[in-house]
Amino acid sequence: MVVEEFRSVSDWLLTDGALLTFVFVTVICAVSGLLLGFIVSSFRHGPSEAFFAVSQTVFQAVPDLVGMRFRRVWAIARLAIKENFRLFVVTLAIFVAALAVAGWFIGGGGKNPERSYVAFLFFAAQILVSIFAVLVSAFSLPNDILSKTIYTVVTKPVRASEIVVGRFVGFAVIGTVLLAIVGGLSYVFMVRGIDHTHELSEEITVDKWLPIVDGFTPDGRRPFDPRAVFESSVFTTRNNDHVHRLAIVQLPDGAFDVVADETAGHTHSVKVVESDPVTQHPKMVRFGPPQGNLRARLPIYSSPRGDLAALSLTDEKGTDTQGVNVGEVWDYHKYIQGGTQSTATFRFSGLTAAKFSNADQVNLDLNLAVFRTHIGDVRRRIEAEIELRNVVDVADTATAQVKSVKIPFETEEFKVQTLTISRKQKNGTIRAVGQPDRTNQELDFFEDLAPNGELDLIVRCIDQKQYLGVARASVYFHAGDTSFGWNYIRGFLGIWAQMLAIIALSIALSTFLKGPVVLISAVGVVVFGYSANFIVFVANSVLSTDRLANMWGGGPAEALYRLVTQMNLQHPLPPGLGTQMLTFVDKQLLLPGLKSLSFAVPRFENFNLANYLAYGYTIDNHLLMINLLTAFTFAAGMMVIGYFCFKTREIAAA
Amino acid sequence: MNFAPSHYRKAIYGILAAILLVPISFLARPNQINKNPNQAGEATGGTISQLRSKHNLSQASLSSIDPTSEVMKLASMGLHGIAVNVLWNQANAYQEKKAFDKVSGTVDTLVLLQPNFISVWEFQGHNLSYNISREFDDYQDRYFWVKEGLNFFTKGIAYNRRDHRIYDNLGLHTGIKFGVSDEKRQFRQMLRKDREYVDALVSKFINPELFDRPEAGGFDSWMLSYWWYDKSYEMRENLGVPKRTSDLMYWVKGPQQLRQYAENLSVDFRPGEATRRAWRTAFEAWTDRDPVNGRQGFGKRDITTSFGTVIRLEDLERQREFQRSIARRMDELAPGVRQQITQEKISRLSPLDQQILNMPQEERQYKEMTEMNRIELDIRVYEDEVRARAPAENKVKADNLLRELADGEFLVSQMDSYRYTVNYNYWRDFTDMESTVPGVLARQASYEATELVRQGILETYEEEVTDENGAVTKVKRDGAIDALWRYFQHTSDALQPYPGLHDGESTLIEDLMQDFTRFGAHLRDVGREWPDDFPMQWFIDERVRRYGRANIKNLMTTQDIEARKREAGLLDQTDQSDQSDQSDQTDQSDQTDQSDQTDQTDPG
Repeated sequence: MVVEEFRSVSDWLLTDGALLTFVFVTVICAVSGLLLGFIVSSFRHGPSEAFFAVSQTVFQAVPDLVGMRFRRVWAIARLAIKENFRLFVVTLAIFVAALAVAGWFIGGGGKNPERSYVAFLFFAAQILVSIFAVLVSAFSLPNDILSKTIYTVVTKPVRASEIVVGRFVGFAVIGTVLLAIVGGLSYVFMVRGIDHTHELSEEITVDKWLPIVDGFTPDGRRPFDPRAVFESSVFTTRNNDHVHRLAIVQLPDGAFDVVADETAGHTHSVKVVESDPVTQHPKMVRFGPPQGNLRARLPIYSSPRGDLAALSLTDEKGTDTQGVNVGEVWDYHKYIQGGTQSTATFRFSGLTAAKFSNADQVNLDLNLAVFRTHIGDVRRRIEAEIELRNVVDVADTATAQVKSVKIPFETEEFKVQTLTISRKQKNGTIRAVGQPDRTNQELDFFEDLAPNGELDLIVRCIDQKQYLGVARASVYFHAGDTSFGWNYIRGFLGIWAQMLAIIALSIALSTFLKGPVVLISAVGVVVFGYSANFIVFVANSVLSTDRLANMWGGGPAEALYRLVTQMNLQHPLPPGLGTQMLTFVDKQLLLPGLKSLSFAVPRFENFNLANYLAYGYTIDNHLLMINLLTAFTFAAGMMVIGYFCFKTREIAAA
Repeated sequence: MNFAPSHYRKAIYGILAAILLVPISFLARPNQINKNPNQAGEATGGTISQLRSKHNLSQASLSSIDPTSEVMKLASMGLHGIAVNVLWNQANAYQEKKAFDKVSGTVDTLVLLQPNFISVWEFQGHNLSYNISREFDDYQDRYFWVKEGLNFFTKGIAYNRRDHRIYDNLGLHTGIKFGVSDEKRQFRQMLRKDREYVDALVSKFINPELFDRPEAGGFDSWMLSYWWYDKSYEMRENLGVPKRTSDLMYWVKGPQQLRQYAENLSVDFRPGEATRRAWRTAFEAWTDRDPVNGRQGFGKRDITTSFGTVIRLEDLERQREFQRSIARRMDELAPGVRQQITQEKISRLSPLDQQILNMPQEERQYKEMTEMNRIELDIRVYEDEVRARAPAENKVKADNLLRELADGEFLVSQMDSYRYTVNYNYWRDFTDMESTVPGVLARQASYEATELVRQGILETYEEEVTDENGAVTKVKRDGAIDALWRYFQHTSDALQPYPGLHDGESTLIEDLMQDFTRFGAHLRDVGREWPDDFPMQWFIDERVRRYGRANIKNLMTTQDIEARKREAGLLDQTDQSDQSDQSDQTDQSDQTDQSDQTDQTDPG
């Protein structure tokens, strides 16, 4: 799976400046709120009166906050739940209807149908719950004010803060229930959609078992399992738009077993029902349910060690490099040259036996890219090797080096390939260097190779003139799998966090705007939040002083001009006042303004964690925490803004 | 009652709106089922509806009505243009980030919104089978994605029942990806036994028995592509769907696949009678009638040219004969004039040109032959020149003949030009030659030579053979050099009746030149010289005579061989003087090439 950012909560708060941004935005909001309140009040009552009015509002906030009682908040919340129950039922009905026809669009085909399922279901849930959140919270307060039913509430001994927070709690509860039901239904839908089994399309007679000669089948294929001695020319029946092949494999103990290949992201367990009485080749088999498609791998990625990066590369002469550019637009993978001294070193920390579900067999997962400069032998994949080393302190000469022998393997591009290393070995792949007395001793992966949890993993490409692409997430230790169901719930927590942010935003807007305006404004803010990453990217590239980083086409104003006049992106703008104005608007007003605003709204794009589920990885705790913190902070801020707006609003004037 | 002006205005608007309903109804009235049995099938709706029926533009006539596609279009509420834009961007972004399964999914959704836009199918089908498949390192993954691209095209068939281009693309991509790409050997090998793919995804459209060829070891990719093109032809001929490409490039495809099939059969397997038949089939499909599907051969197809005239490529010779008959009729109207003008033009030639003209054709060397092209133009007699000297009473008849001639000339030039575009003559002669017995024997010998070279056996060797009585005898077996010798002997026999194949540059000539060089290298490897009686020496000499010494690189000509013999003292003085006369002549005509010869000749 592609992981472009590795951030812990502390990194995010301190290094990435989230905390500073929060303080900055809070101060800006507070100051501008006070100023705005003062100006509006000045127009109404004069400056001195305005000062007192603003001060009074601010100071009254303290008792309003402290004096909030759960009983009253819950009462308001219950009202909010009751009045939106119908919308809740309608939304649910729409979702169920959407699920009924979803099968048309998702289909079972492709290489990994579970990815299509997860992407569609998360997208549908996200959209549906977002619309629900905006609809329930946008019209509630304005409608109450318009129909004057708000008097029945404000005339009661209830604080403004309780009205605002109560509604938030009510909408959050009904939204959470909706999301829980939607999540449950979609999980069942997905599991049922993916679940299937197969039968053999015909009996496998002995002549249908193709022998593997020199590593290939008679029809020129490499067997799907390297242990295969026969591969069947008979397939399974086509269910869920795919079929499987079968192979007879020889196990290390010499026994034979029958396995199905991995197609559409899964395999099946195979049980032999009938065998040929003479040759013992299986004739009929029975298949179990799909295996390996709904999983949640727990990876341990490389991490920075002191000043050393988590992943560093050397070029063909062995000096540090950023990797070779093989001409790809996407620079995620960094390439090393084959048949040279060029290496990629991954630095691992915190590797302890306790982290692995099965510490006796340490699994190393590889997901490497390949770039060929010449076609070479078409039938061979590019060969690479890894080497593991314990981290030896240069000053400490007493510490002996323990390392693995170079373990060669054939790369499998766009697949997760697993190399298994036994924990305890005697004269195996792990060796103690320069210590003849330990030659016949048993060495332990954790105690000898990673004594303090640290080790270096070096990757090389063996084939000359070919290149191997690596990224930090390309190589990791696979500690085990967590429950897919639990991972699914964690994925929905991202959507839940987004829902809370939208509800809070809509409530805050509804304290001073009318319903339809709230709807449009909230949708606008959400769209802005979704585009925030893109806006920052555009702003950075257009405002950059580095000409190479500048994007063609300029900012929004220039883009509009080019669009209307059908001018291509490379053509320079005509010199003159118009161009100067366009550039001024883009570079001095729009882009800096939009960029600044983008820090005040959550990046809604980041709340979708479906990729982790789709590719079968456990959602990173830090990422989830960052999402939740972002949503809670934003919601709290919106509540504060909503409270002050509601407090200063003259209900009777509405 | 007192009406305000605004009320009047509203009333006028209402009346105008009601009046506008009349033309709208006239234009946009939907089609209705005509219950009158005599008028069944006639469009009865408004103008737009009638136009739609006339041009087969209704959704039902364009494609099967797919509820998924219709739901998508409806659900996007008129914004499906924007949705399409977003999906295209998404597909591009996914591809950039190498999330290919997502590209595939996005594209599947995209075509639901644009099911009848053929370019989308063409672009994305190509994208899947070319661009995405080549991203994968493993040839088996590439094979998977080529099939994904082809499957994508097959999905487009139901949506585009009146557009032959989906089938054309299936033919094109099946042919090229399986038959021409770097991994063609592996792809074709895998496809031969890929019954699952064929049964599940191809058999819905084409009967697998049609391209399951025992002589090709199973399913053959070129025959599969041939049948995809045949589906397209069937659509054009039986359903009368409008053509979307030029006739020439459209009708050439089917026969081309048959030729490729024969070619691959000759390379992948030991050639034999099956190969000869395949070449014969390719020849017949190219020229006269396709024996596989029973359709008109390429040469007999009506081809509408860009000038709007309809031609048949096979008619060229007949048309030329017709032109000559007109010339004869012209001669009858002006007896002796043509010869008179010819003589006048010849007399105006320079002495050197006259010498070249009078020289026997087989004696002309490269330079004379080049000059001869110009001289032929100089002495050419045009029909209007003949007409100008015709007796006055025949001038009107001559004028009529001139007009006929001009029309014919135009057709000849069109046929010539269209033949040139598809290399018609070359492929006609080539397939014909390959389908002869010497042609197949040559292929067989070449195949054996390649195998022997692979095994490292260059010279004749002896093999011990045990008979049924257990007696061991030694049998002489051919080495690669012997096999190549046979190859050149058969090729010489096969090639001689086709002078068109000796001309100019072609892959055949290029291959032969390489084979000669390969043969020379093998001879050197075993310490032997270029043979005196090389079976294709005539071919090498002819190339030198017509195109100069540089054309044969370092191969030996007869002159080189003679020179070698002289050096060895094998020729007597008389022979030497004869030869030196000839070589002087050559020196005179091609001094530059001769100097190259000294440098390049490899004595072996």
